[in-house]
Amino acid sequence: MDLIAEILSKLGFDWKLALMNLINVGIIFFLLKKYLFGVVSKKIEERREIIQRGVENATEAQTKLEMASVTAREIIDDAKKQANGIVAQAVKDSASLAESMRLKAVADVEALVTQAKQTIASEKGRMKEEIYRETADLVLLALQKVLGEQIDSKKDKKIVSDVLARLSE
Amino acid sequence: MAEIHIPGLAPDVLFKIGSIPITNTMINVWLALLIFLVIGILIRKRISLRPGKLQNGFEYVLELLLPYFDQVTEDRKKTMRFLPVVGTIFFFILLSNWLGLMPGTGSVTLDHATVLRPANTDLNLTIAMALFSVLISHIFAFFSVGVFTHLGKFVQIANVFKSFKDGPIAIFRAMIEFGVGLLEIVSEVAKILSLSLRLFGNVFAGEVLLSVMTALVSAVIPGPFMLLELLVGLIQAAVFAMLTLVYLTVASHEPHTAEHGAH
Repeated sequence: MDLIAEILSKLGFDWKLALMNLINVGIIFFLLKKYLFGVVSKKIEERREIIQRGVENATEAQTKLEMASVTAREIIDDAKKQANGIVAQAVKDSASLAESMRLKAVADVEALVTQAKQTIASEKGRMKEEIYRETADLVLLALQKVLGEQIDSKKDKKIVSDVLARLSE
Repeated sequence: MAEIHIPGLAPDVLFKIGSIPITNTMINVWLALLIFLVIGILIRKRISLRPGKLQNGFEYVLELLLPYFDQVTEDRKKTMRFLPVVGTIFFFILLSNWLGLMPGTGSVTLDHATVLRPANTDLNLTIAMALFSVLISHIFAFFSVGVFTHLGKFVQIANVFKSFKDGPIAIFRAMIEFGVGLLEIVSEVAKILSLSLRLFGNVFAGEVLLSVMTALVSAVIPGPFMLLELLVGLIQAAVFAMLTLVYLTVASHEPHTAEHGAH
């Protein structure tokens, strides 16, 4: 041990200086720990966590996107099925509606024709009566002129009836 | 040719504060401390998740070093735990060595004593750093494996008492382990000596070489030697830091007991 101490002494070792230097090294350690390594390694760790979270979120988002794609595909398939059903139903309904409208139109036309026939028949009867009456008046007037006498009700009726009978033949 | 001034082994005492001598190497240490303080304050003040130039540069250097540290510790958490100690040693030795190449070092004098001298050409500093390195490895070991478990690595007396029940072979093995424990104590002292003398020897030799070359030819020729010293400064810083990391890693491992060894 003495030999080591002697050699160290020859190399310039002085325990007071060594102690001072140890204190200096301690101060530098404290300084670097507090101002550099502590804060910087904390920031590096924070950044690493943020990046890690970002990667995890991206992976999660990718998984969700894939799941959403599958769900969307399923929804589209369902919608297509529903659309096909709706179209088929619409075709069916439209055919049924068209048939019912056609039947109604036929019924309406028939009703119109019937009504028109009734009107024509009624008009025809009324016109016949009008013609009879006009003709009777005319014949009466002509007869009066021909006979030169007033025709009473009894004669009138007889003449008119005779004329009409002849006309209708 | 200028007079060749070979620096002495001991640093020059510039003045005294009370009974404490202040040497020219200590001025270099304070200079390094001041530089670290300024860099530290600047980085701490502007620390951000999106780093500025200075923080980015420091983080870049750290990111270069951390994989090397990981190779020793095999665990990033341990690396980050040891980083302040190992990083301090690395950057301090590196800066001290490179400050020794600064103009004025070895040439500016005060009362015939050079004001600036490379800090690691002072054995007192290298011993202090080696002591710091070894002591802090033991402090880490106390926290990692417990005080008694760690001390048990050096004084394995308990195994000797236990071995009396297990017969002569166990006693023989316990005695060998006891002897190995004592050798471990010697190796701790050897660590301090090897760390301090290696750094001191290399840096002091470099300083002597530069002094001689500068005295022989003051321009151009010392250039390559200065570049060599830049490299030596880096290598010595790396060697000291990596050895400290090895000591820290080994010290924080659980000791292998006889039962573990049997498995």
